[in-house]
Amino acid sequence: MSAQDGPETVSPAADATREASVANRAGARERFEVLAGEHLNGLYATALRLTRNRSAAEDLVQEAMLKAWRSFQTFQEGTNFRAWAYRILMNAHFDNYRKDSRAPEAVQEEVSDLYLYTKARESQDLSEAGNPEVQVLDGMMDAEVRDSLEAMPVQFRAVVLLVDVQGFSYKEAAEILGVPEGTVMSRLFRGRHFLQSRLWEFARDRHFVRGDRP
Amino acid sequence: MNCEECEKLIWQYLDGELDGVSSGDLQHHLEECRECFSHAEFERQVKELVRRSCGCEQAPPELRERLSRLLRMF
Repeated sequence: MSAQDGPETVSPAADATREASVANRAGARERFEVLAGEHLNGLYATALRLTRNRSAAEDLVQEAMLKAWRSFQTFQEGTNFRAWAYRILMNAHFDNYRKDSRAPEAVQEEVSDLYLYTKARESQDLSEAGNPEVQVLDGMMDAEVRDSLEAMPVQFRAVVLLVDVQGFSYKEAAEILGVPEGTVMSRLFRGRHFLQSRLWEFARDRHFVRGDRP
Repeated sequence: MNCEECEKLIWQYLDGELDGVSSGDLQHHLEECRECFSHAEFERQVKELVRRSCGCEQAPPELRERLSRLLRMF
């Protein structure tokens, strides 16, 4: 027993307490790693679309996960870990974003009222070839969808990522972002309008390129 | 439910956010109205397209390793 050699003798009881706390911490870390590991891909994909940059996305996930670990003691078993982790990620992103941007991103961007569907159906060129709505989606490339999403104001983008990409309910998205459910819905719908108007631009450009139009 | 009401609720329906009664009404309308049915189908596909295009990135292995290492330091 090395503790008996020095003057600062640690009582066996204190030693046992310390060992127990070390073991608890290791156990907590193991639980945390399993939970965080399960959601890391989703968190990273979300961070990537928020920051639009791979190394910034890695930094954001790392920052969020270290914050989450530090307050993991306050995390109650049985609460939704996934929603909690996304809340920490979103908060970290918006904190950094406020620090970095001198001017706030314009939220009042021109948003078309017309759905992609209506646009496709109205398009003479697409209709001539039959099934315009099928064509407009069939030709869509993943990169175009990602560009359209990333062009969206970040408040809308956050909601579209949570609901459409990660499959959270309106209520969960509201809790994650700390806003009322009505705000989630209006941002989601405006975000989708925005996305669809961008997708339409891609579809129209592609159509011109193919020379289907005089 | 008429087409206009259906159009207003289509996104909530596809998001699984309508209560049982409204959802049933809308579903009934979709069974009877070809135009709204194809619109709903289109919106479902757009939602799927967004999910597929924007949610498939994998966290780099270096990030997993770094996190695991950092967690042991804090």
